[in-house]
Amino acid sequence: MAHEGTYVPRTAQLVQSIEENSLERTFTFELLDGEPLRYNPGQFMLVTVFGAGEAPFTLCSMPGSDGLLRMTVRRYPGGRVTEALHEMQPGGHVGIRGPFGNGFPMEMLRGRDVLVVAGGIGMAPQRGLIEAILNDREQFGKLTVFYGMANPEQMLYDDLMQEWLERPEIDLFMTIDRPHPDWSGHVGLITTLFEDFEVDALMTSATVVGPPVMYRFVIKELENLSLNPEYIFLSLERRMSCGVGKCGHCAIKGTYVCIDGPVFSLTKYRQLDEE
Amino acid sequence: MIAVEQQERAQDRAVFRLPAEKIREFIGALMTATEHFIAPTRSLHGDLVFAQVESADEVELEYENALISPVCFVLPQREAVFTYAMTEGQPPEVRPTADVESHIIFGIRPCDVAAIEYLDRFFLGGEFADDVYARRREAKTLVAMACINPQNDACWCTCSNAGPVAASGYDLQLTLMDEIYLVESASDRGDRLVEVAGGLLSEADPALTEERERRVEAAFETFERRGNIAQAMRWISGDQTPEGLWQELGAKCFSCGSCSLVCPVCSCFDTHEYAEDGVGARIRVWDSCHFPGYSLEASGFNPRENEPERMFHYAHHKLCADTFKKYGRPGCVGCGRCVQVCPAQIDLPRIAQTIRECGWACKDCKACPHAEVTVAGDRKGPGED
Repeated sequence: MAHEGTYVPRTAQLVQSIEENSLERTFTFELLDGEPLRYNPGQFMLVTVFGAGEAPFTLCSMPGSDGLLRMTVRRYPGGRVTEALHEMQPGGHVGIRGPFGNGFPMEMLRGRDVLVVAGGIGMAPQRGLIEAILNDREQFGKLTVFYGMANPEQMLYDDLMQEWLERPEIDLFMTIDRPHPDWSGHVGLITTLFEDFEVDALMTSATVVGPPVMYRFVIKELENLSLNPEYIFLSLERRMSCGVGKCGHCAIKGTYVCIDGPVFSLTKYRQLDEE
Repeated sequence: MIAVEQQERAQDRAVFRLPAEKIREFIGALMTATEHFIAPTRSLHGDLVFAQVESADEVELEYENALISPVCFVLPQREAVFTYAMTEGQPPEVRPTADVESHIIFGIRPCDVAAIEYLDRFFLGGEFADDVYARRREAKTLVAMACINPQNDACWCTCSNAGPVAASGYDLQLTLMDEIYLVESASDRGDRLVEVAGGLLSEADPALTEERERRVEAAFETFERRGNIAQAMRWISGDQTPEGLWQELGAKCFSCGSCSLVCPVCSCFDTHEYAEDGVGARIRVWDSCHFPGYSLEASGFNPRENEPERMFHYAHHKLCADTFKKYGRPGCVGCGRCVQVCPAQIDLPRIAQTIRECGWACKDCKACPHAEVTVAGDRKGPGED
């Protein structure tokens, strides 16, 4: 039943839909065939809303014993799939294909300090990575997380952020772009978090996920820290219609973001040279 | 190279001769061996199209290649990849698309055979095989009609390893040699069709094959030489093309997508949802990387917002060494359709030619990592290594 074809999805049921903020909700799905899904942080799924269409979303948590899949999705006005998902009530059915893509290269992070840079909804894929590191904490060095958002209302996973702020095994630094009455923390673009930040350049890996405009500036900061480009990883977003390297949309110079990525080292990212 | 492969193949399978006056009888015999017989035929208005025919008399035997390639029977412009039925409160019932009926595609030209070979490697190889393509392809038998002479002055298959005679990829191939068709089989399916034709075919004298090879050699001189594609391929692969080149070509392009819609190798698709009264389907539809919306993301970000970036992407995909290494040939089969349709005259042969003329040259050909990129019809220009 599970794998009838390249494009045929497995059926899943929406078990929970949580409002994160005015734009984003986190959806929890359960596959009806009960077959557990194994995946790496940073991999993505293609979600079908029957009658609306299919779109790619990154999984935002690690597989737990409950076998549930979680994805945080931003609603775009006029986006048929995201609007339909946001309207869907628990009990509704969706189609799921995946996991697709490479995910974060854990072997390039293990044994090293890890700097996680998340801008806006970029925290969703990064959350899965952070959970994976926390689940296997002694395998990694220092874990630092930079999380930037436009304003405090856009924060994802409020309770989790509070928990991480209190946990000694993770250093979380958050910033908002402009001053806001409800915010007493750091204010400034995410690049301002790099001021006075020191790393062991040879022993640090970095992961970056955020809006395309953020990459150029964050890359500059990471280079100022003298990090090795082989140990800087960026997750690219591209339009996709298939997830399996056939529809062509995500191709950049013969590299397919859906199967060769979405996570690329800075070295590879530079070869693709398309930002 | 083509001649060598054919000699090797000729040793494996017998070659037959068919008197030219028996060709319609032969077609009639083939028609009994399939559910649907697709052949070149004239539309009501005289245009050459590949379409289903019901009698051998409808088949056109002297024809320029159709503007819409018969590859569309393998990768149709629209097709369902799965269907579903929805009932309120119930999980939807999802069904893979059903098996497709058998087709013989008669009269397909060697360029289009090469395109299907390319698509087979693309869709069936790699990490994921496309089962929808696989089912449709499996039901097709290709009866090729070799060209020997160019069909029009846009043909340039000799410059892109695709013709004028197919070296592989067909089931049966016919070459008209004056009063006789040379008939070659390259597969078990081809062999079965030979059996179906029965007494119409007799074993061919090896001299006939030799004569055909001589004519193929001569054809390399009669086909339009539209530039040294291999050189353009090596240069674009080595990031050796100046930015200004793409600005210049992009500025001329209307982003109409005509080149990719008639290209038998172009296979990009978009997916659309169709659903009404509880019944739905996921439809895949041809797309073009020249369309501005091709890479537009939900967020509004578009990595290829401007035509120069799209022009580079299009040309790079067709010509890069990576394509050659993965699929065993250039991403162009020299059918010349883009030459016929491009309103701005920036078709692929002209793009290849412009790359060569841009005055850029790699420093060291001996160290070239893309040296393996060569095509049989290469003609070196003055001063080129």
